[in-house]
Amino acid sequence: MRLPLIAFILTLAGPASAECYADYKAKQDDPLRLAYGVAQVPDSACDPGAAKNELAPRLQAGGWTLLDVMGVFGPEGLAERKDRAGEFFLRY
Amino acid sequence: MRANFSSATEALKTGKGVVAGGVLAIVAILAAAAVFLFSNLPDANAFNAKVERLFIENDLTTNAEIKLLEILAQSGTSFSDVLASYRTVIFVLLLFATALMVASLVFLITIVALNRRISAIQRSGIQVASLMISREGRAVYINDLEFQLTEAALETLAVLAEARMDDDVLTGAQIEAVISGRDAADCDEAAGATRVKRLRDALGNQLVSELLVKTIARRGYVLAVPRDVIRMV
Repeated sequence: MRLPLIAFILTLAGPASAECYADYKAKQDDPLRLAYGVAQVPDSACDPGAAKNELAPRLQAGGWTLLDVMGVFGPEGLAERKDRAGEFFLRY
Repeated sequence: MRANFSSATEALKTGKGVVAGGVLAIVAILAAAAVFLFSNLPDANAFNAKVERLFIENDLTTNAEIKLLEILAQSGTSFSDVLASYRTVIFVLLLFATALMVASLVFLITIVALNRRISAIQRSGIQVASLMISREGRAVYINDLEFQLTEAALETLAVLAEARMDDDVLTGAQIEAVISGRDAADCDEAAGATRVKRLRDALGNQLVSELLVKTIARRGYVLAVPRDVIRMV
């Protein structure tokens, strides 16, 4: 009776913790362009410092320079940021 | 009289030294000012960096806010173009300032030198700028004024001029010796003195000739003109 319950809780918690997102600020030079975006980061990098290391090369590949990672959050934070991030919502 | 000539040339020499030093100082000061100006003018990226800071430090993340920040940065960039033209204008103005300061320094030194020369002229009463002895025309040209002389007076003047060019002072006996071709020991001091007197008389104005053919006590006679103005034709 207990084991299945624990297993159920784990299966619920598993996918939830796998979905980690970070919102960031980035720029392009000449002319200066600024961007606010949201990106998914792997579980292992689910804190601002690690997300920074994770995101910087990805953005660099897209021609953007990472300025700052503002924070990390779960899927529940996506909706309120979708509008603000615009074209940079889950782009990189 | 000698002291005046040398002081005139010395003034000219020190004047040249001051001009060279002054020009160097002016160029150095203005070059330093130019370097200071250019290194302190902000470049185009200074404005972009400020906007970037604003973006990082504040919670300006909506689309409209980001667009506004970008427009701010663009106006800064266009201002930097204006700044580049300012640099050129400032540089040209610095060049003008250098030229004007050098010119005014040269004029200043010239005025000082001229003032000294004028006071020297005022003191000496007569300044012989050129003395040309023409044997053929039996005349002496002093500052382009022609004075007709007798053969003997011209001879005396020529002897004195040659002595002056060698920086020599001749006694009356020596003058007589050179002109007559005899030994100085056999010549009479009075004979030379008479020649000098006749030359002075021939030149007419006693004051002017006294200034021109100078008597140095117990040594003899000498032309009171700078060596480099004498020409013989």
